[in-house]
Amino acid sequence: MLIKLTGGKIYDPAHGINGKVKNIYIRDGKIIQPPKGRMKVDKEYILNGKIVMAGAIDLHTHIGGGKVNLARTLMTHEHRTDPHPQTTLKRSGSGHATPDTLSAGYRYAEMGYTTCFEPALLPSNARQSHMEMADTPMLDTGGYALLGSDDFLLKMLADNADQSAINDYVAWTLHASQCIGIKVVNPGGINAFKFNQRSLDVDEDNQYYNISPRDIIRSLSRAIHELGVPHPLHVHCSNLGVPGNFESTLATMDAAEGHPIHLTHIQFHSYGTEGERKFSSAAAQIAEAVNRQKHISMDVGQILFGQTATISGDSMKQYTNHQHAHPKKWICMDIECDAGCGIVPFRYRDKDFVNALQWAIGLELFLLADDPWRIFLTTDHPNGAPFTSYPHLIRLLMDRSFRNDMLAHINPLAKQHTILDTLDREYSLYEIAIMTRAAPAKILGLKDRGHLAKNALADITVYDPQDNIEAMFEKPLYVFKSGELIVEKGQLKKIVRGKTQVVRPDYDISIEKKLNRYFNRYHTMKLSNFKISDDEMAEGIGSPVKVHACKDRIA
Amino acid sequence: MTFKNITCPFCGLACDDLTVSAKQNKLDILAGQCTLNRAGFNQALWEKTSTAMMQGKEIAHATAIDKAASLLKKSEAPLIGGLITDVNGVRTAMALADACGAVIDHQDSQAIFRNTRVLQDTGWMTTTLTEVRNRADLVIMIGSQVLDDYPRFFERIIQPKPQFRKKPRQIILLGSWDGRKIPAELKGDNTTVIKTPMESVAEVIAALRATLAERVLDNNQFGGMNSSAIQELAFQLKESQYSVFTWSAKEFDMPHSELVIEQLVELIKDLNTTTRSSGLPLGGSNGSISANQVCTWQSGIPLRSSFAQGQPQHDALLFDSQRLLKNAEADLLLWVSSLRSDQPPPDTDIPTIAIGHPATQFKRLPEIFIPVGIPGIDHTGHTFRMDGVVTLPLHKLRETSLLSAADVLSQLTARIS
Repeated sequence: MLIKLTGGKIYDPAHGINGKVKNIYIRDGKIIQPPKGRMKVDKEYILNGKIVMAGAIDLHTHIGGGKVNLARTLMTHEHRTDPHPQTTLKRSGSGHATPDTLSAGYRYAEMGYTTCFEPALLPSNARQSHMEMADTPMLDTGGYALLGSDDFLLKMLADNADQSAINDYVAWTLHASQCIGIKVVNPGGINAFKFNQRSLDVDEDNQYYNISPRDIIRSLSRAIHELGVPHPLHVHCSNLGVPGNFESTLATMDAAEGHPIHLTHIQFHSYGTEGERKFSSAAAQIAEAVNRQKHISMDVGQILFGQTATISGDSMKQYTNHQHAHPKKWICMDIECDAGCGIVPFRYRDKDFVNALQWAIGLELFLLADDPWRIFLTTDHPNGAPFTSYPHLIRLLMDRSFRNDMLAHINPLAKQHTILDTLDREYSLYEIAIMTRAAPAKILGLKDRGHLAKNALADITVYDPQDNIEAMFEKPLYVFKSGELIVEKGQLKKIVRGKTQVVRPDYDISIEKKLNRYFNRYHTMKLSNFKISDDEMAEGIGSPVKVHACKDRIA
Repeated sequence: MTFKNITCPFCGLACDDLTVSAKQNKLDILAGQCTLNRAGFNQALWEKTSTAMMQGKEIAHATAIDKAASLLKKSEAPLIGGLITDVNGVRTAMALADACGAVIDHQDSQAIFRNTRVLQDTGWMTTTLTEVRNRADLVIMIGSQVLDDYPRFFERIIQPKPQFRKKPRQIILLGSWDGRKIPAELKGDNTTVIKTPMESVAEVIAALRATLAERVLDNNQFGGMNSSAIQELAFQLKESQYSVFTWSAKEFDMPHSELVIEQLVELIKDLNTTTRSSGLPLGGSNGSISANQVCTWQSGIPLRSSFAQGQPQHDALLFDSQRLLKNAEADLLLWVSSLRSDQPPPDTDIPTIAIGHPATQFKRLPEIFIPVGIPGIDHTGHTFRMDGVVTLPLHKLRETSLLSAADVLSQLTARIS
């Protein structure tokens, strides 16, 4: 079947195309070159100036796994008041900040997203995470395996293991847990909390292993680089949410020693201690450091006002944050000598000084970062706000007068402490297409998506231009997934299921001997049952894998 | 054929270190045997049917699906219960519940909700099996049913030397140990038994909380402990580096027991202001954690939910399956129990469709019985462990002509949609 999208304005930053009118041809789920000669077009969509982008990619969204399910339980009260009725196509569901898996898939697709990544997949909880994502229809998914507070790695570091052995363990973890990247959360800190340490700065030691976050960042960022894994180490820095933590964030950048790293939800890590409330924006310092160091990328984790639930692997900091829980209930877990988690419901209020300044800090970071290829649009769903608020966030970035109207309503003291009103920048559609399509595909090593050239998956979103950019991004005119029309005028047309995106770096299988001894001695599960096979992914779990290439391993 | 590292699906520990020798009519557990898995594997050998039945008479599979689908379509208040199955059994049961507007619940939800209501209302601090095994220097085990319900808990979790502690682990057994034998592996200097009826556990916990908060106690006896014993225990908890409280909600069989669990959860939170402490709720047998997890991720709300209004609605009292059956508020029961032959549908007057273990011992013949394979013996699958974190793969040990519960439930959903 040959499909033609005729006369759309194409935004394809991967190929430098900025609003040029072009036709797109689709066959067998992929974009093809314009056929030569006369070919029968089976279905044509006349787009006359409609905006065409690749399907959007969310590189950091908590959509599946044990802690998300705990958050759903903690938010039962909200789910009661927000049911999603069944339709002829859709299963029913519920919840706003922590929706069920089916609703999350539908809603992402309705907003033009076609690929999403769960950023904190605990290897010990990998099956649940993949099963939840398999039950998230419409989307291709993937996960970043959490390392850096697991006792096995910390023991290796404490024993001064060779870097090549660490590389083998990192690669083994990617294979065993069927992941595409490695995430580190409060490096060594989740582990230190189990030994009753309550904070851990970049150069402080985990008291049991005598290993610092700096050691962990250095070794893991180097491992990712040497293994040829495309996505840089995905880092949730030390001291999340602590005033003055921008210094830890700068130290973390330094700890990578020039290896690529991605700093996630950096808004929560860009706080100073100035002013009468000893809480201030350090967005300028952070943006300057990222602008200067080309091996560093970041996503923002923008907060938007309203009720949400914060879900994190950072049990140490979430334990401290429980004092701010709204409503007053919270969960903390220590998990399997692997990691941990903490869930704290939050209500961000525009009249609250701290919340209002957090909002401004996120926007400052967006507007001060000079390279849209190295900054990504996220709310750290649902931690800063639910993903459903992306269209609103895009408007804040693209529409200065709208932004200033919003700024007028926030806590007056916070307003005095932000430079937001001096920032004139308005993001262009081209830059939004970079941040939400081309750049995430590039930084994850996904050559088959995020662009609109020959051989790309026909994951395509078409928008009807409107003055209100929020309305435009909320309801795309068409969304195609692998060439199939799945959404029309913001309404679901067809249910499809995605695949799990993974990478497979080379490693020396003899690492399993050491791991097997460790598992038999300390774990409550066998190594053979810890690993997830491709068959299990496809059949039992229900999401077949799609392998993306790594570069050659260099050490 | 001999299989190694096989997962046992018969309790919430989900031990995955079994060695099983499997022939068509014989399943021998060569390593990792316990009373529960012995029984579970034995049931798989009992005389069984592989043919669907209508009121005890054999019928073709396709006819059984047709009849079951028409009963579901006709029903105005269907109830999907039991859910004693694997993860994919529950995933497909959820799709069916949504398609036919059913209430969905698990057989053991009474115990599940003693915990879930606390989790919903206050949250908690908990831990997992590997953490307890390696980190806990003090384990306070509330109740004594652990011996029957999780036979290998001591061997696999408590006995091994903790990785991170130099001194031996201290064990406190708090509960009604009258007439019960303390397990041999726990007899020793490191175990203390505090005999207290389950009804008095709340008193002990409250006294501990008050003592930790430096309040003066105006009583001298708390569930059989005097105030100096309480003070000693409070001191021990404060001094320990990682204490763990275990409890089985099933054992708190008394009105408003969720309030006892809430007290316990708050005690753990109190202790964490200065040291580390965690809870480990024992549960997950009969696939109950699997059922609650899947229900929560697919609908956003836990078990005891209804899809009758075309959208999920959760009410822990209203949609309790036992209550619905007792008060005749359901007009059709679809019972899923593929793991166990001794968990048949409850005796009820309403028409019943059973999707179950091939050797199910019925109290009353159901209208429709579709026998299915046993997860972890006849087909692969998954089961959640008690800690709700680890999902173990279940293995296929023998050939069978039987479909899985998930296959049959999917056929039913396709048939009525």
